Amino acid sequence: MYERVAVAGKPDAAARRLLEARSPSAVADRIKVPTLILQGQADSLFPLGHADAMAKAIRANGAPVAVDWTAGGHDGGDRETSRVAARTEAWFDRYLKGDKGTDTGPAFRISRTGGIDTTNGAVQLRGATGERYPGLGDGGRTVALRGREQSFANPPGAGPPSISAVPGIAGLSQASSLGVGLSLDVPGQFARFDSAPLDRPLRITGSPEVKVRVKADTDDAVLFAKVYDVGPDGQQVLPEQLVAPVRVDGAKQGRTVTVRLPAVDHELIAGHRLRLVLASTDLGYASPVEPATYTVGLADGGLKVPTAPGVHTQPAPLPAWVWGLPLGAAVVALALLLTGRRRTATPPPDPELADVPLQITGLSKRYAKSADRYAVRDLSFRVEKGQVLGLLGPNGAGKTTTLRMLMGLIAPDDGEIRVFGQAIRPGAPVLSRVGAFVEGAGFLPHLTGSANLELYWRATGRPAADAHIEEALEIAGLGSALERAVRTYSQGMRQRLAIAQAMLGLPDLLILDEPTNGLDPPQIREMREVMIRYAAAGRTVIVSSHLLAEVEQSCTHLVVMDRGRLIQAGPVGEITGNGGSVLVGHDGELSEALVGKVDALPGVGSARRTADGLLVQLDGTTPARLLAELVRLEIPVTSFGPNRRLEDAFLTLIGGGSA
Amino acid sequence: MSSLSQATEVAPGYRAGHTLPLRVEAVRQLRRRRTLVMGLVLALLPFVLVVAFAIGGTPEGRENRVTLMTTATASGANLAATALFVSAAFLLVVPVALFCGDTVASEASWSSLRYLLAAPVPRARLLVSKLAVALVFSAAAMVLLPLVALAVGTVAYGWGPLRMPTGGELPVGDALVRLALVVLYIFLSQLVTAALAFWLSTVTDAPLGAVGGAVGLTIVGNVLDAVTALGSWRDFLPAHWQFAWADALQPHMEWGGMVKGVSVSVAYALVLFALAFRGFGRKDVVS
Repeated sequence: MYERVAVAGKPDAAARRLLEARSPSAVADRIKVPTLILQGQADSLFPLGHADAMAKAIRANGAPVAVDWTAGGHDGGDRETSRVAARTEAWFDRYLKGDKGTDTGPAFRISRTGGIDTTNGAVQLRGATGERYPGLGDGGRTVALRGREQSFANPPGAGPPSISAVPGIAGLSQASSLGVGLSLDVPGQFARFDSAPLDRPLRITGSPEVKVRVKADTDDAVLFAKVYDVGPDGQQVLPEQLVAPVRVDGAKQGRTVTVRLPAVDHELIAGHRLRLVLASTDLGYASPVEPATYTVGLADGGLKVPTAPGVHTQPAPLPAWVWGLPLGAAVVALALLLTGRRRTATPPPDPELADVPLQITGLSKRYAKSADRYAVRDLSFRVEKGQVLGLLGPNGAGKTTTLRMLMGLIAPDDGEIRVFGQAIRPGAPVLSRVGAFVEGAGFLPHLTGSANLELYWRATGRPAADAHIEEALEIAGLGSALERAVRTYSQGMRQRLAIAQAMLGLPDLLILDEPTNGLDPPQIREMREVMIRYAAAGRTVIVSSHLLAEVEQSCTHLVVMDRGRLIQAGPVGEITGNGGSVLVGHDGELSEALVGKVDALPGVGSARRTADGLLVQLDGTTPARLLAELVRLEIPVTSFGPNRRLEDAFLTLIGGGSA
Repeated sequence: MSSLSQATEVAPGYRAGHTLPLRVEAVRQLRRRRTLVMGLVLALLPFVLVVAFAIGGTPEGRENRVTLMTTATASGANLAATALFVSAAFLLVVPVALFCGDTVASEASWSSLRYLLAAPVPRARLLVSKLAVALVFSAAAMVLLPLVALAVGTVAYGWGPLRMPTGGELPVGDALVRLALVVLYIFLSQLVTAALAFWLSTVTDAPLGAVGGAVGLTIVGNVLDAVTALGSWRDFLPAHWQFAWADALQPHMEWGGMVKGVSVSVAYALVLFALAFRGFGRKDVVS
């Protein structure tokens, strides 16, 4: 039968009878069961009109009907296999199994093409649903078409044909909804009528209709009607590549017919135009091979476009993790922050210490990743108001570690630091009364010296008037260099600027770590005077240094540290001892026995060799008596004097501490 | 704490909440050379594009793929979209990593961090100020590029609708809203880079380490995303969604990709920011 019809190009009566008997339309009036009709949109073989006919017929029998326009079809595209299977199963569950709780989905659903998934280039689908199936002609909007009556030819042999749907080329029809697609009309073989650019978007959902007058020089006219979406740049897109074949009988006298265009779901953007094309040929169809001339004009000038206003696009479903992931992360973040807080509460301030600039009790800090090596161990001392305290110790004694703990930069493992009675914690507010210069300058190299100081003060958030910036700058003594970027500064200039920064706001407790490093002798002397003046005004200064000689000249009190431990603390005079020490220069080497003899002299605390000579600690005797004794012992004395007292005391102390 | 003891507790006028104000931090960062260079690079890129199109002629898509490149010369809005297209994957990652990764680590390397902390600026306060300024700078970089491109493109190609590569046009008003949305999405999707860089910044004292680490991990993310064998696990890679903003330039706005991208980015960012605050709050500052 197929071969017969295919060769003849027209079905004969027997073929017609057979097809009609096999068509669902033959049994439609007897289908009384709930029916789910799934029809592909990209399908030139079984177009949406078939689904429409079934839905109408079965609904007339009173059975529930749901219509689902899937995305793909026989022309290709996404068949939505899994969704279709799921919906079919739900339908069977509801009506065959009788599971009343099963949701069978909306009465009408369209799979609409959204954009492209930017992560993989796939087309995104969204469902549009309606509470009832609207048919193919719901909610008309009439779009005016323009165009004169046009004549065109049906070429002999019906070739070359226009191209619309090309069966087998999958994906082309999908592409049409994105604005690209292959379609071709052969010049001289079609009539076309355009609308004005649309002032608002238009979504076609169903079969547009148009009334045309058709006249032909043959008995029948065979036309292929299609509606294009034409962009502003003239690019035309044929929705789903679908075309409606029309046979107009008795066209010789001219007839006015209503042409139903293919049912599609397609959105036109505002600014695009609709274009009606009636062509004499199409690649997908057999058409008359006899040459003919057709004349087509618009009968009433309007294309009736169904818009199905009851159908609404649903937002694309989002997986649950879209909300769950950030919420979970927020919980994790909160947990991290809450468990990360220091467990020990800040101890209450001690009012008895409110006037004590610094009290350190039992302070210990281990080296990182070490259980028993201490940078500072069981350190305790106290600083009173008005003191200039020298923190003395060789490199690695733990001075800087102590100062860092004092500034709240590192947390002690044990012990407590109180400044004016307040326990020190990272960022403790009482630190606003402390000015510090520890381990070198820290400036923004791209800013000038004055900008650095100004921004630093503004960062403390305190009133500009409290900064006393002029006094600080006087101490820095940088002059015009203040207006240069800090990166151009020498080491000494940075040092002075940093000390000036520490003095901003005239803090009650000023901490200077190795302040004279990189300064020249006049500046060192000046710095000394600055410190003494500063403390004289009732404030307190802590100076750390390993340059002992100069600390001795500016400090009132000393704290001597070595290897993390406190060696001695007290007024300078107390530490250096009342009698002081004497350095004896001599010729040649002194034997161990000779040193032992000096050590054993009455009134001598200790005697030991140093690089500069014999260091003798006096304990009762006088220098004159000592000299006499030394001469008696036949020591070749070349020089004799109370030289560099503090350094010697310091070395003596350290020697004792490490023994 | 009674008001009587308040006098000795802090220096007059000191309030923890007023330390390191955003304006001060902004000024401190703004005058840095890297900030200026970054701004200059981003401001010059549109000019470079225009010159390139002038020399090379009308741009063509590679292998018939439709990209924003093909419509770059259609209008100012198109050039702005194209500038975002060419720079979103890498060029815009750099300022985010730079501003957020360098901010704490550079203070540590200059030793100025300890003076700020001893001022004292409370540690959380310091991080909040620094993070806010770094994010504002990052956002400014992202706004600067399309803005300059829009201006340059308008002079070069005229003020017109945004022509989309897939066909169709957006009127100028809509196009500007969509471009703003694109910039907002890029900013939100870069939060993960920002958080990673910021966290690294609090961990290391080497600014380059923090910036490079963040950029490097972003590249690793891109590489992982290219491994299709990972399947849907890639949904949880921030790099997977880096071009989701293109959804805003399609005829049909698609929100799905952008919502997922923001979700992934924000989730990672929250945890990384929390790690930064937690780690820095208890850290021994030895720089």
